[in-house]
Amino acid sequence: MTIDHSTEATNLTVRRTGRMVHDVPETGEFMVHRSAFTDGAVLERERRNILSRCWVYVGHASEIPNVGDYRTRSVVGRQVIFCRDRNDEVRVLLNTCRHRGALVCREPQGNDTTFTCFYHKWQYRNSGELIGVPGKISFPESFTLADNGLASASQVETYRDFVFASFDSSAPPLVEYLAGAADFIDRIADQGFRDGMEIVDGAHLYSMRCNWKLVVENSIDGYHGFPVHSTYFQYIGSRGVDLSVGLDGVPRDLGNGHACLDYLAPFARTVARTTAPMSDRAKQLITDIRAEADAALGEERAALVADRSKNIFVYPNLLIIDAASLQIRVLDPVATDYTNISAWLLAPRGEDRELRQIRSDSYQEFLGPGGFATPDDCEALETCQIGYQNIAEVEWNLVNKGYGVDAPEAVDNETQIRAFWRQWDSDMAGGPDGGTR
Amino acid sequence: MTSTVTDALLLRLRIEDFLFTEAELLDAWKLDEWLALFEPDGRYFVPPTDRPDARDTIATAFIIADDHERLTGRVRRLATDAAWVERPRSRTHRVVGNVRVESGTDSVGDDVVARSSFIVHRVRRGVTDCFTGRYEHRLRVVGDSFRIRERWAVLTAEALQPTGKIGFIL
Ligand code: FES
Ligand SMILES: [Fe+2]
Repeated sequence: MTIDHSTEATNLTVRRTGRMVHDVPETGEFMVHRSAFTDGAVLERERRNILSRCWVYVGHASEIPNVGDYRTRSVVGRQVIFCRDRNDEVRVLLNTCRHRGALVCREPQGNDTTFTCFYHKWQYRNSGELIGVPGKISFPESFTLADNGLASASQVETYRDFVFASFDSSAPPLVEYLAGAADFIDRIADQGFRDGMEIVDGAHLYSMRCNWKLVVENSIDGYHGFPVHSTYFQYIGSRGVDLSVGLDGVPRDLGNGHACLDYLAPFARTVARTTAPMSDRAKQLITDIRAEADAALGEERAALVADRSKNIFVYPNLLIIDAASLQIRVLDPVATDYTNISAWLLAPRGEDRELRQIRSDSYQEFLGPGGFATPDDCEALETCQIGYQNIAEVEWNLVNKGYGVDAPEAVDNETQIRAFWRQWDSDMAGGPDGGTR
Repeated sequence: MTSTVTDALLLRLRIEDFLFTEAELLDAWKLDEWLALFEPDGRYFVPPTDRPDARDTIATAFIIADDHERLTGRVRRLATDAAWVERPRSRTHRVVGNVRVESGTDSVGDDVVARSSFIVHRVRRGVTDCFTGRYEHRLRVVGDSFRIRERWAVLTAEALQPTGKIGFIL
């Protein structure tokens, strides 16, 4: 009987250091321990060390354009009210009554200046203040309205209409946190150089029976594109899209765990790339927009904004998929092996209807729970999760493509995925009070 | 009076027969035969779960809004062995009921509009998922049968959670 000493040695390393990421630049070794995907204690630690401390994406400002507008949603496991108060300030309130806990707002969306808990009718302003308590007279003197407003995220900041919150008052300013991701968010927001960007009505709310980090890896992975999505490429090819462009670009580490894949691709892009199946009118409109982008943004910048596709990961819960159409994809880890996903189509405000149709078609053909590609990603990730049941015998994932290899960076390397894991590992190693960030 | 009732009843029975046949084809994965039930410009829609009543596929981001070409692409894709999500294939079983029929409705060329309820179970790799909702079939009478102009599958679910994805034909 042979004993695999190399596996044994690394297992000992994990036991000694408690680290789940094994990273040896000299030899190009990069492995992730599979318990990162299966262990309930890991998820609990992620909630404490990452989800409760980072900036997390809440929503897009266009979802609550008017004073009083609100949306309720789950954000990294917290029930929040995402709303615009009467001073036009965007709020992220915790949707739980200060009395005995009921949801104070039970509608998915609406417009109101106050929220009244229906249980005992405590009433709050949409900026959080408690303004009404029936039978106030019989509460003790120590109880004050001022002390019992709705709890709020510790910090709320908006960057180019992307609204983030942190539940940690010591989190650094958002722009600092975003690091290199800020410039990539700019490259998305700048596509609305005419009149800004807006979320299109209709959310794709779905789930995968897998760990949230599998979705992160997959969403920025250029290595799986052709093997997993051959039927998608065949389909768009059959509709006359020129596939000779291929996928050409590089993975990028954007700092602080943020990462992206930055590339040229054959997909239709209603800000830049015409494809053969489009009408002459659509082609003309897109050509005009592209020329306008040059004038508005400068040629160099316009090329980055309009021509290049980018799958952007903003650590820890936001993905912006600017590929076959433009999607905001938000992760909400529920269990080690189950993740809720909310996705929206993003578009330039006031986009021409024919172009919006193309954007929407392109979205549906690739993305979402009924697309020709996303369901196959789901199959890949769910089968990874099932494969981890063999963790006793196979403990480590390999994430070493292009690591320490003397060759130019390539779109199908795993550099960007390693960037994510390094930050994750560092955050997980940090104590509950002290961080490594 | 009596004969009117009889005609309406007969029409509903014929529609039911059509819908049951369609369900059988889908559960048997006879997708080419199923596709043949459509008009050459027939379409298939699944609105997003937060906007079940949406009809405008440009103003709202649909989960599925297939024109006939994309619908054909969907069927072709599922016939390959690289539509991974359905390889191996799910077992599905659907029950269609509560059938209501309106005839001669409007100017757009629908001869008959059939509204029904569905319960579809999908079983795959140890997991059973249940989809419920309503179908709306906008049909043209062709000979003694029907052809689908539009087929709407509107889900009851508020989110595709935990069902996750619609890799098969709903
Ligand atoms: S729980 Fe809200 S008023 Fe009592
Ligand atoms: Fe993919």
